[in-house]
Amino acid sequence: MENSGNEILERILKDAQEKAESIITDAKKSAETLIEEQKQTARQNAEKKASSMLNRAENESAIIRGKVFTDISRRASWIVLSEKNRLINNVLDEAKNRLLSLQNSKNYVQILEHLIVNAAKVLGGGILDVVLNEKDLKLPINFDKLEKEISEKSCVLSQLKVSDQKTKSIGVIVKTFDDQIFVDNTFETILKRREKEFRLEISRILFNNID
Amino acid sequence: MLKSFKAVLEKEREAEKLVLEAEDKAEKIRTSYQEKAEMVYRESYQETISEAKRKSFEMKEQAKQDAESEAKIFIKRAEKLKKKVTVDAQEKFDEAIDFILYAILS
Repeated sequence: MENSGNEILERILKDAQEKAESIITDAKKSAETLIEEQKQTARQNAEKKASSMLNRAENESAIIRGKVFTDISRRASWIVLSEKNRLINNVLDEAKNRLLSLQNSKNYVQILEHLIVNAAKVLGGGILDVVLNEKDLKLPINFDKLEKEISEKSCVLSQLKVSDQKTKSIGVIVKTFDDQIFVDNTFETILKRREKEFRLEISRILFNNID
Repeated sequence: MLKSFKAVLEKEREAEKLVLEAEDKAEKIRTSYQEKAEMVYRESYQETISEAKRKSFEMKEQAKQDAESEAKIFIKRAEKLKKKVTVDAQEKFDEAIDFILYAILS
């Protein structure tokens, strides 16, 4: 009887201990579950923001690539274009030098006469003043022959007078007698006047086979 | 009999005390984990955001590097073309000058 009484008492205590252990274990378990859930929730919530950050970074990367590509295309084009421009300028400079050196050539008088007729034709003939430089004034220019040629070409009786004015340039300036209109056929001015046309043609000649 | 009854009663009180202590301890565990859970939330959130920031930075850096190495190739090509332009143009230099002289003098 006494033994069974002790067993009951031990049983009461043992049950209570088991219950207490179970209460603590459950509390720990539910706390750990809570922690795990919080982790998941935090990740899910952050994931939305992270995904939008990554999307933005992707867009910005595309912008960076595009910007660098545009800059570089411009730089690459500039490298080639500036070289082409340099070469065209070289041609124009050399052409100018060769034109200026014509003043010392044997057929310079013929060239000058050609420039006078050309200018007079543009002015439509008539009484015209011819402006030359100091050195060219001494050349044996056949004005009679030129007057005939101009009269024929312009269908207007023409007369050429050597002007008192002088030019420092090489070539000729032809003016109407009233000084109202003139054609500047000095080499430098012709080059300047026709530069755009010449640049195009030089470009065609020099770079025709280059992409 | 009374003695046994008293002993049982005492054991039950002792048992009840054990359970109450356990509940008290469980409550403390819950409270401490509750505080910990808030910290874990903040850390996990921040960790995910930091990772995204790192990836974003790497992505942009990579894009920059790729673009720059592509740019170098472009510039090399342009330099090569520039040389070809120069060589080819030099061969036709006199032709271009003759064209201008002819256009002015003829």
